[in-house]
Amino acid sequence: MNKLWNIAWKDIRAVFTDRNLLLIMLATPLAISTIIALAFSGVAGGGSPLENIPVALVNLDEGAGGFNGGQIFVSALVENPDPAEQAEAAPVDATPEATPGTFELGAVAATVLEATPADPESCEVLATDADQVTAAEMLAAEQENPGASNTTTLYDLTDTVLVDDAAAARAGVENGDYAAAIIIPANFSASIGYSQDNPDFDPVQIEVYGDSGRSIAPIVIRSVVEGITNQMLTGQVAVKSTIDTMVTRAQENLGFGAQFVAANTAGQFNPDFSCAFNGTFETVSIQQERVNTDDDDSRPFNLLVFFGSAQATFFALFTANGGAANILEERRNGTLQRMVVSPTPRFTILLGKLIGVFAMVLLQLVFLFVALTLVNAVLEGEFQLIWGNDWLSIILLLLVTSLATAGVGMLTVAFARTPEQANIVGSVIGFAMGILGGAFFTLPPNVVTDTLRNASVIYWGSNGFQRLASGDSGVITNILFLLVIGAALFVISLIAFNRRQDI
Amino acid sequence: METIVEARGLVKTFKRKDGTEVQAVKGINLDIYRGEIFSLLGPNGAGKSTTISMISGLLTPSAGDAKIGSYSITKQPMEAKKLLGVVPQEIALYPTLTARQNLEFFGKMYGMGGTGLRKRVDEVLDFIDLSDRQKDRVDTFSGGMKRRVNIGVGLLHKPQLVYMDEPTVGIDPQSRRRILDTVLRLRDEQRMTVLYTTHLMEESQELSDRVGIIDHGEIIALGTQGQLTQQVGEEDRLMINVGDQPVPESVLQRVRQIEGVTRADYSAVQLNGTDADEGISAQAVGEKRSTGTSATVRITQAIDGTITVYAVRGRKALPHIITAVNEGGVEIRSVEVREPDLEAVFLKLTGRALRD
Repeated sequence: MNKLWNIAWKDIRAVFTDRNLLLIMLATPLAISTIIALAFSGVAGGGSPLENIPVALVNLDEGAGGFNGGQIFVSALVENPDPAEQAEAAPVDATPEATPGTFELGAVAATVLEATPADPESCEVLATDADQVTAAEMLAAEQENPGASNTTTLYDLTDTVLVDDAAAARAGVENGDYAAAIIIPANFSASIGYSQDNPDFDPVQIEVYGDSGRSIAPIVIRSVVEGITNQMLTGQVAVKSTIDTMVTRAQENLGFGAQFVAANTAGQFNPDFSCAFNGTFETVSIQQERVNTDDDDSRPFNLLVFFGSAQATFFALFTANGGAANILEERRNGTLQRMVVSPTPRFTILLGKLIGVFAMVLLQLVFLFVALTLVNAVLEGEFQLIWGNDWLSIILLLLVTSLATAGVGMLTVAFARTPEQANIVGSVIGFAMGILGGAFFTLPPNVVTDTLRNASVIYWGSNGFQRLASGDSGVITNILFLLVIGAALFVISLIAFNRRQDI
Repeated sequence: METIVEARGLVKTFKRKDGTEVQAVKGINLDIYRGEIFSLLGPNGAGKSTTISMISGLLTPSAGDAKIGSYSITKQPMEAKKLLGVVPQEIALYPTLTARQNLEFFGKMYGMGGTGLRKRVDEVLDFIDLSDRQKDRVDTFSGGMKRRVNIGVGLLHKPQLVYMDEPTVGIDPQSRRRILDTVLRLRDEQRMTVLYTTHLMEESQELSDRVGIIDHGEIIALGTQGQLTQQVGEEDRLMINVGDQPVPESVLQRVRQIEGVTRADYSAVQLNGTDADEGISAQAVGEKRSTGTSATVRITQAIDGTITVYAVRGRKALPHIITAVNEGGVEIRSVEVREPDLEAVFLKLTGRALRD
């Protein structure tokens, strides 16, 4: 055991005291990830590199009390929905003369105030006074100056089509026609819409059926859905707050209540609550889709996480390849032979070298993930655990990603004759896996790329980290795949090295 | 005498890419005695390194076995390796580590550790006279200093047998002298047995108690230097350099008839490359002007011819030999008289020079 550690530690020390190597292993991927994130994310004020994500929207929402939240999704995401369908279920109209099936706040309030008159107030005043409707303020600001700070709209971001059947939408995702399907349940509006009969919000689930093969698009769509939902909830909170305030005031001041009922009856009460439900989300950008929900597991999409994890794994592959190629370098320099002539079994020597490679990769990944977290903190101005809170999964994924990347690097070297040959073959494999794994850009989704990327440990590793970062703990497949691949390559490499006569 | 190495029927066969086999070592039998410096002498490719690689455990013998101490290298390799220290020809050190770190690393590979290792490292650093540079990285050392660390690593675990593979290759005369002295000190002060491989006859003659001459995978002669030179008798060797002049067979015939001469051969070494495609003779020296361009290519092909004469009491026969060569129309450039040595033994046994 001491000899194993002696060999591994010697390699680790040699690498981590070499300034040039550190530059390549740590500074380069960190710089590239940061530059890409700055170039393409809202952090730098730029637009999103993503466009026209194919999405299927299934609106099963039956509406409730004149409110149809599902239709808000349609308005927000579908650029040219069927006009007839639009007219049938307009998302919000707060006027007393609203068409049947629309949200009639005046009627709701008047019903409440038949017994308790109240003083009318505007949406903005109430919102400000109650310090609640931040989403409404944001939307109002956007309406005044659309696109001032962002250039990518939801219409640009997605290419959303309406699909009637949830099963058909899911099938479309599985076929690769859509990156994700958003399925709004029938009871969506009933659950989150405020009414006298239903003053409290009920739990409801919108299904975002994502293509797990597309590492980035489903995360973005999920974030968009969370954003829209959050704004609706905020609007509902504003409505509830408004009505509660009016009812309270009417109860305290009977004169105000009588005036309100009279005004509503005369059709004069027309507070502009539509600002809280405005379905015109053209100006909503990805950056604005940050959701500050109570759900701790729900996290916004972060380009630093996306490219950082892929770049870290990509460079880890090179570290593994270089570390394993060091066996051939040692053979050339004679130090390997020197170890072989010592009373140390050949297997122990090789295992020590391979453990060294694994440890180097692990340390590199840990360093990069910590550094990327700090970079994000600097860019965002606040410290965030950008890789999520699921520490067990993070640690497991780090370990198996290190194992798998080390395995790939070692297998390459095990069959190479010289360090140069190992470096060339390793570079080709590294870049191929990097491209498939999204280290540089996202590949156009199709059957071929979807199949090929499954062979990339970079894909499995970075996909797992992106999932954890977005609050999705379902990375067991990633962990198992990387574990099996890593262990298999590790063993094959060890046997291949051990069988070589020249080592 | 007590043996430390006993090799019996060592064979090593390698497979070529085309599937055929080549036997690099052909059944070597060898005894090395405890406390001696034993040189294995042979030209490059003779099988020295393959033989030693098998003894030291780097290669597995295709057939046969060897013992170091009482341990078989095939059946008890770990025990055998504990008795062996290896000093490879190349500088087998980690350049980014210091001298001490290198010594400590390899010491741990021999199971050493703790204060015992630190103390031994101090002793070795003192022995190789590098205590004052122990904390410097090896890549800052001169070639001679690296060689000394290279030797030091092989001595760390106090081996009974030290194998040194051409340790003086590529270093300046001063460092070479120091290393040769170190080898002698290993035997005289440390009581170690040294197995020394070299293709330099002079080193072998200076250091060795016994010499084994190896060629084409076989030991062709084994014994003390005196025993080996007896094999070539009392003949002197006269090396008559004639430059690039052709030597007719008639001249050699005349030399062979001189009293005391037993053998006379002509051999030529080509000093520069040939240009056979151009049809230029091996002895031609001239200029070739290329057509169509202004470039001038000077072709400096030359051969260095030598008449080697074996003669009893060669100095006495020398004037007659010179006369015979001159009268044959060949101008002599230089003459060298060599008394019997290991080079002569090798030449006599193989018909080739050690450096060929």
